[in-house]
Amino acid sequence: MLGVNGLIRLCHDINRLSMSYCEIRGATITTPDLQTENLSEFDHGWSVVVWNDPINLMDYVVYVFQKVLHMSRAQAKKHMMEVHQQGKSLVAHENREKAEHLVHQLQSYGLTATLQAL
Amino acid sequence: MKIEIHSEAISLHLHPSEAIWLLNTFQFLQQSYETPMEGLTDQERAYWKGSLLDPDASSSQLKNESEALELERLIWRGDRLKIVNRWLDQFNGFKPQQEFEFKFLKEEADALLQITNDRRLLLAANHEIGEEDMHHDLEKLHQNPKAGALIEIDFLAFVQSAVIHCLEYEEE
Repeated sequence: MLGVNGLIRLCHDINRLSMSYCEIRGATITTPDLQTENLSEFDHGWSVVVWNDPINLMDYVVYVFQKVLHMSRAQAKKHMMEVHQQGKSLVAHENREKAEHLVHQLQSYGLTATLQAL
Repeated sequence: MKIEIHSEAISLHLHPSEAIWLLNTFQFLQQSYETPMEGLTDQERAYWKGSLLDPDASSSQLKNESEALELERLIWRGDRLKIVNRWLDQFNGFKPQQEFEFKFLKEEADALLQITNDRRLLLAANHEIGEEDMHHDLEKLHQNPKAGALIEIDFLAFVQSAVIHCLEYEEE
């Protein structure tokens, strides 16, 4: 059994891990299945969107997708065409930190990339 | 322009006019990277500020993360200035009537793509070049007030394509 201080510390740790909630009922503690429910929700809660622009070359966009997003050439071409024809393409679903990092990298090549909450 | 692959470097063999365009690109970028944000045009400032979120998203969302992106974009300017300064050293003694070999390390190929793309995007921003302008009619180009910018954008696209194909060839 955890003491009150132990429960508080545990809740604090769980909050630090961005868990959604921690319910304390009497001497028991109920948390969601941290390994599956919450982590999967938070893991891929953000999209990276690349927008069309008239300047970047098609070959260049394909190259950057392969380089930054580690796509195959066929995947990179498909997403490039989506950007070109539909104005944008969702190129990754990640946790926020990773998605933010990808946006930075894509922008370092001059692509118009943004972060979008799912 | 001819492109040559060495063991650790790539050479661009440029005609005199192409060398002048590339020199002009690097000189512009040297000045642009050196200029503090407040000294840049509105369009250039907007370019360097960037945006983490879609235009529709609330500006209060992810404020810290947006500021982090702005800071990182400023760091890119400093990093790229160092590379451009080094590349400009190659032009010491360049004579405008002569062919010119511009050489860069293979590990700098991505920097070349990023830096030339900065110039293409900044030209487009400063001259308000859009989709229609990019499909310009070559025969009527001399009548177009954006001709100089469009020619440089096209020339740098040619350089980028050549470098990308060279890298792909290397991978195969």
